[in-house]
Amino acid sequence: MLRNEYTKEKRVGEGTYAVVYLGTKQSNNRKIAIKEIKTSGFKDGLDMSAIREVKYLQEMNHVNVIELVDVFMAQNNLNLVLEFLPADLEMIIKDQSILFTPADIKSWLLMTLRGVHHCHRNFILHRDLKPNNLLLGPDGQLKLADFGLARNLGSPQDLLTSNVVTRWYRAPELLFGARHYTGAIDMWSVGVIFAELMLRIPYLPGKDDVDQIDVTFRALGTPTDKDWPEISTFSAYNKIQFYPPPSRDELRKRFIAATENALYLMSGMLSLNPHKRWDSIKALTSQYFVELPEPTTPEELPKLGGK
Amino acid sequence: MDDDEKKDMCPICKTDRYLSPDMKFLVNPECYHKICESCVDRIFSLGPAQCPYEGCDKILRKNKFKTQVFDDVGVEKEVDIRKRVSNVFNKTMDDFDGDLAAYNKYLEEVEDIIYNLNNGVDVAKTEEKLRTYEDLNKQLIMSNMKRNRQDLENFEQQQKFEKEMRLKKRQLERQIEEEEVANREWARREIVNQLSKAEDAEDVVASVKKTVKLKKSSARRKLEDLNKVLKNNPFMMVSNGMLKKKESVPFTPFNGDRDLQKRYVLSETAYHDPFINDLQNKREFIASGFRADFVYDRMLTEAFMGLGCMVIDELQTAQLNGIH
Amino acid sequence: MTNTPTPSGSVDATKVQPIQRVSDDDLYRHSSQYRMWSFTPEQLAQKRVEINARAATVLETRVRSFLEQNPDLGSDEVAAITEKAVPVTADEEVLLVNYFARMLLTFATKMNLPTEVAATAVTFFRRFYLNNSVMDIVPKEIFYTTLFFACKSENFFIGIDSFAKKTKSKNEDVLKYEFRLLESLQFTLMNHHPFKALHGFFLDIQNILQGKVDLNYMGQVYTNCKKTIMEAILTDVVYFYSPPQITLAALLKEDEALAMRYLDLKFANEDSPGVLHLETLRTVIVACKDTMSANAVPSKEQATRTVAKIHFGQNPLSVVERMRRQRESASPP
Repeated sequence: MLRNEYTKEKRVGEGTYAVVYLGTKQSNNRKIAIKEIKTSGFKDGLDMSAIREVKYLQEMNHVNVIELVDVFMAQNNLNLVLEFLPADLEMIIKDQSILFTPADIKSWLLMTLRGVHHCHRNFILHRDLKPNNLLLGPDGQLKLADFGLARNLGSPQDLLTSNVVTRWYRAPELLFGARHYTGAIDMWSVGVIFAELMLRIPYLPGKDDVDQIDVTFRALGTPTDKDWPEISTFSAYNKIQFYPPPSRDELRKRFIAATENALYLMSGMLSLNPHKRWDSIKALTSQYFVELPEPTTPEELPKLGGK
Repeated sequence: MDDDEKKDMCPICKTDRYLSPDMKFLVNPECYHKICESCVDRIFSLGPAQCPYEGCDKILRKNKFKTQVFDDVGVEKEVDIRKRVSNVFNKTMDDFDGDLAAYNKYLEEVEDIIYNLNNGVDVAKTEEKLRTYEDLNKQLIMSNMKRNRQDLENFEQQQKFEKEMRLKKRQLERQIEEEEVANREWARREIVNQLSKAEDAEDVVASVKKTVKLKKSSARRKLEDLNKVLKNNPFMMVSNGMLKKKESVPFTPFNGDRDLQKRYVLSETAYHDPFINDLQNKREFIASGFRADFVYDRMLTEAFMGLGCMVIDELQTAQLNGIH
Repeated sequence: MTNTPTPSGSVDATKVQPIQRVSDDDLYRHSSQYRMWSFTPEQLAQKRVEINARAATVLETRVRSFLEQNPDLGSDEVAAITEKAVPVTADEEVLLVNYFARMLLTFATKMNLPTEVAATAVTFFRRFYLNNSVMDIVPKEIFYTTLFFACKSENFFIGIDSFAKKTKSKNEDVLKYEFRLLESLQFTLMNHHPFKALHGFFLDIQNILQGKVDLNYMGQVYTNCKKTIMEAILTDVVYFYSPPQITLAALLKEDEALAMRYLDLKFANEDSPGVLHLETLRTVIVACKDTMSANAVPSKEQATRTVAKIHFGQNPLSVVERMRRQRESASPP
């Protein structure tokens, strides 16, 4: 039976709706992680996050998306067997003992964008991209994980909830409560992550939802109806502070080690107007990835606890 | 008239450079006879003509004339031949996988060709050899040319990157200097200020010094970052001559797995879709980033996604192969 | 679209092994719908026979032990049980599932649920019975569960209280088999329904047959095809054909001339990218259309009879009770 196929060896984390264990797949001794989803105490039956996670991960098959190895039921609990990924990008960014180069940043960004491209070509929005959802395998491969907020791009008229994505990585249209957004919201998150990789500190750390709007526009300028048609439709727009957009030179000074192509790509992904924001194809085919330095090969990327 | 004087005189029209300083000499790689620019214009404007040198029967074309770079016509000729041959025989050490012996043998062969052409030995046969090689290796030659261009580009990029970094470094250093001057000024005034309120002099000086120390400027921090980057600069390896061995796999943004063979072309004008039209004119849709072209692209993708999957056949084949 | 940059000599960051180009067809082949829920007609038939046989054995064993535990039954009663408390056949199962699947669709439509949600509910319901027999869990017990779960899966969340109220059912009844449902669906929830493909063809036809089709007429074709596709979801074509093929079959049914003209023009040029062999495609679509039309739906009486049969099989005692009641009413005191 399945349930004897996997052992749970160590409890490594507990979230609101799941407990995560490290374990081993008996038949081939592969290290795995088991996400045991709590099922009691949910009035409405199976939790939506669990449903989404199962639903989308089953369809994904890409080096840069976490692999769902198996799913099984045990003691009336839902267990997701996932590939074992020992670190995440947030840990790497925060570990001051790790030094990383522009080539490393390029490699992580490349893998992130490939994962996002795969989601988007399957018409799936991730809706919670942030450094701690970008997991790193023992071989250095970066994988998109945590699809608890993901959803299909449904019918065009669908109303989407704007209450998605962790605050610091939330696109401006979401901050305004947009209900008909696109894959552009994921691209914004990637842009913010790119900035964070270069700065080694969060780029737009708003203290609360209102502050997030302020922090975002202080850094990138307040858009007008001209930059972003119909922005004044959002009721929150009319209450905000006006900031001028940063000059190229200001950006250069802030991102001191970035090349012009890197800044160009970052600004593309951080276009305030979602219509103008770069999609994953445009980002992946940008000059930044072609110019030197070449992206570091995954095996050679910095790892936790020194190389 | 001695040789030195001859050098500055056109042997055809006898104009002397001494008298007309703007005069320019040109040669044609067919025979390398030196002729002044105005003679070339005069003689060859109407089409190919024979070389005006006595006893030279080469037919020359105007567009083949070029400025002579080297004083010695012999050197000029050899350089031209070298250039021509190495454009065709353009392999580098990389193409021999580190086999030094093979690479040396190749270089010798190339030298032989150049020697023969330069000294008129077996010219017809050697030219034939050159042509044959060119025909057989067109693909390789083209890709090597591209690589050499790329190497040059990389080199230029590296130069640009380093220049940018140096510039930024200088800016930061200047900024730090300015800040330090300002800090010193501030400390001086602060000490005077606080002392006027009659506090203990030593304490005041110590505390002000401490504050200044804490004011580690952001510019300084950035400078440290920049130094780190420079220390790890991947270009440095190139400049140290330790060029990483390049693998032959070209960079592919999508890891090679994007489908470029779509079964449809997204039209910009052909679709009349009242439903989508209606949505794309709604203000809240526009503001949210809603895009009709995204919707069309999506629907068209779904229309053809799996059209070529002959499910029953494929499953039967899989069954026969014992996969299913 | 964006230009691909000229390849430089650089090393690919994530080069593990050469990865094959993934076509859109391959994307579909990666989907769980293709991997887990596509069958050949023989495989499907066999699956149904097996499910039925397994449940039948269980039922027969149960009836036998009932008879052993009740040796005091009269011989006519034993005869009635042996006659009535019998398993339903595989064919009866299919018909009953079809009957309830249609009811589910009608119900979802009455509830004003979006097309995709209704289609998913029907799909889940039918897939459930590819791993369970109607003799294990009767359709009524899983009916609302499927609908409720489909809503959640399609991001159309309705709280359990308001759902139970709308369906006049009890919370615990709706939720009782939710896990069993998820497990029976083999934990795969993504559906590629043909509705988006239909929208896509509606657009592409306008492009390929530019100026040659009347837009009002196209709108009408679209509406009718949508209805045909909804019907198709109730049939086995969903297991044998891909969504675009089902869509084209619907179009073929609606306007054969239009469908053929479109395909001829579309795939006439053998050199165009991703070209398909027109004849193969045509054969597949025609076969799909024929299977679509051949679907059998049982009458209400037929369905009621099967439900009763399951009931007797599950409770042999009820056969006896029914006999005794009939006998009592036949001979008044």
